[in-house]
Amino acid sequence: MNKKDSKIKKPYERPERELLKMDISKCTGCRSCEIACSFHHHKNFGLTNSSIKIFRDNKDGKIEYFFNDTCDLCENEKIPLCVTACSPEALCMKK
Amino acid sequence: MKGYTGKMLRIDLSANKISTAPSAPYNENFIGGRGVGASILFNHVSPEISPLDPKNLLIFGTGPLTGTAAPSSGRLSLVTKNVVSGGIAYSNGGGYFAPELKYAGYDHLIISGKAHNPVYLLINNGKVSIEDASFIWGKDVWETEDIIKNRFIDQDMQVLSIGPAGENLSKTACIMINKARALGFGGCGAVMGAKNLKAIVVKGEKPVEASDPDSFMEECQNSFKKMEKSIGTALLRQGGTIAKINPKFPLPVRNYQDGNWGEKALKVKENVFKKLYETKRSACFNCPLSCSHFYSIKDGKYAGLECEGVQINGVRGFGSNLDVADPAFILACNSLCNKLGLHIDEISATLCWAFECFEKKILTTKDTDGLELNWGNQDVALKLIEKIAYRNGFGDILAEGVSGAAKIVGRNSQKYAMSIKGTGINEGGIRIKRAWALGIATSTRGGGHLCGSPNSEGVKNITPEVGRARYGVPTAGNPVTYEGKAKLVVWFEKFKAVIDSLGVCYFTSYWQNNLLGPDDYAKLYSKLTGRTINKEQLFKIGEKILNIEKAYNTLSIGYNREDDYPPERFMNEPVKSGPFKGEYIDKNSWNKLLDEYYSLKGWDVKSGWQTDKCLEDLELLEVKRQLEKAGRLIKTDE
Repeated sequence: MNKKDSKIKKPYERPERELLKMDISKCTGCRSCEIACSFHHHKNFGLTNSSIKIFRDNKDGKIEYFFNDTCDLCENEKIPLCVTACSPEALCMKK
Repeated sequence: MKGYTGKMLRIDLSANKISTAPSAPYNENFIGGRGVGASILFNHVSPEISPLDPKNLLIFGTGPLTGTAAPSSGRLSLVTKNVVSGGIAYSNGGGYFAPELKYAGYDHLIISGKAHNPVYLLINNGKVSIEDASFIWGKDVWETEDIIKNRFIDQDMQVLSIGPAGENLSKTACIMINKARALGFGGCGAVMGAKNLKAIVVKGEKPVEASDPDSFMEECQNSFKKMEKSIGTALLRQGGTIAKINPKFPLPVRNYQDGNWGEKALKVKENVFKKLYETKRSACFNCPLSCSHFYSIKDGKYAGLECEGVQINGVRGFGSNLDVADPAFILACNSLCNKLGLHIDEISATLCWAFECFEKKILTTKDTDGLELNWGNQDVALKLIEKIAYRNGFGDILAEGVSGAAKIVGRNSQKYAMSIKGTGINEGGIRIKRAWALGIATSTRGGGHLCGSPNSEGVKNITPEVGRARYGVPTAGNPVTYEGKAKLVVWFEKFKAVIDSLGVCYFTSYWQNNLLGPDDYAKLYSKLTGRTINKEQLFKIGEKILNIEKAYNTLSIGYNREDDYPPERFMNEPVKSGPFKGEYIDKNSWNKLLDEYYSLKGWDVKSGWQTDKCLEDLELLEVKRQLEKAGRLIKTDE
């Protein structure tokens, strides 16, 4: 793997999707939102096909997050699955 | 079968050869992770070889639930021949590495041989290469991860590595994941060092498929809901395992000279860490517990330290047992061990032994490179940790681990080496909680409470009714009674073997006072894989795993009943103070407990070895054959 291949392509856009709100001070970096998102889109469990992406710095725990434009706020769900899956309640819907 | 990748990756470092093999036959029989690892080790690593021989294998494993939406599904198992005990070592670590390995397409990763020069392994989906590691050899664990991530400008790859301790073949060396998660037991860092393997870097993009995705997801969500209602979840969120500490909580003091730290415990409670140093709560992969935490020390002697940790073992090992009631010092020791790649249980057992030997004048400054090992001396403790990692001076002796060092020093110092099957222990309540002690003493990896020790003794909500309903043991919550405790250990050791093989964290389960029990895991497994399994079937697999591990120990070292006793100190010196003053392990009661334990296992009571009948019932005929060949199988009379 060379640098060019492995460099993260960042299709992710900031800030959050219009109706989703993230409080990074609460985020524990567990990536449950990514897993839930993968399930929503593809009915499987992984990290690559998610609309949300979490990066955790292993030194100080600082969190970076990105949404991409595939997020549809989980059509057909009452609440987006990432919000339901977020145990520390870092992700929520804007009121 | 769904839930698995169906492949294992095999790396022969001597021949620089990379290959894959189907993993299904192993997964079907032993679930995954620890179970598959034990089976591969038994079949492919001769009990006669040295653990540092290139023929030893490092068997990393995920489980079917790893990387899925099941709670805490980020666990990685490691099985190898144990550098400390000489038998089997299994370890289990969290973080984010295991799911990534699975997404890269592999259920298991098996490493054999020895590279000619230091190397690291790069797994990028299906593309695998063995790369030169000269640029990271000699670096600590934290530097190694940073250098690798910067080299690839990729923060999304997961890194597992050894530190200087593993490179220098310290028997106290572990393997670190994501800087602060450890595969600790059995000196496995030294096995990796002996293979000239510095690190494994993985990135994967293939998701895990479920047999019935909707139904599996529903079951996962139910599990999360159950955890929200659990007492254990609330406690772990409050402060990780440190939240249990209070002046009445049994803690070892000065190398177990006492079992109660009294009011000093208040100085290292979770609220103190939180108030002074905590910056953030943190969780492993897909875990709702967030039992970990990040700390930052702004002032004082350790100003500038930023780290993740610490759990109760750190507080026991570097706090009460070294008799230092300073949370900053505990963080400093814990993070130094993480950086250098040292197993904190073995390190603390070794340090505590050395400090007591100095107190008893068995060791003097002539032995210790001029260092004065007086209780409470923080600088000396930190200096020794560093010396152990680099095998520098007196550290070269300590790097053999507590029993190895005591053997070298002699002079009656063995009396103060607190170990089981050669493995240093870092435990509280061993004189008080009978099943806790029995689980440690009979653990197949040599010591440690994460094998058969239950966490129910002394816990308020484990009433006789709860104990009976969950484990068939009404006394499960009563610490000091011996009654029912063998049965309780037999239950928990099977449960743990299953959990380690499924690829999830033990903390989500009954063990840590959470509401997920074997029926819940059976449902998760069935819905994920499409293969219906029940609690009894899972437990039978658990029992098989334990019997393979036991047999490997018997074949390697000949461990028998005599090796299932706690150190003499716990039978001769009662707790000196506190609410459990006067408690100790009564030898006669222990003998009865062992008799009961072996009987429940179907093993021979006199020798503690396995019987032909037990292995036939478990359909472990090759295990039986090997033991018979070695003359270490007990024939039962029909």
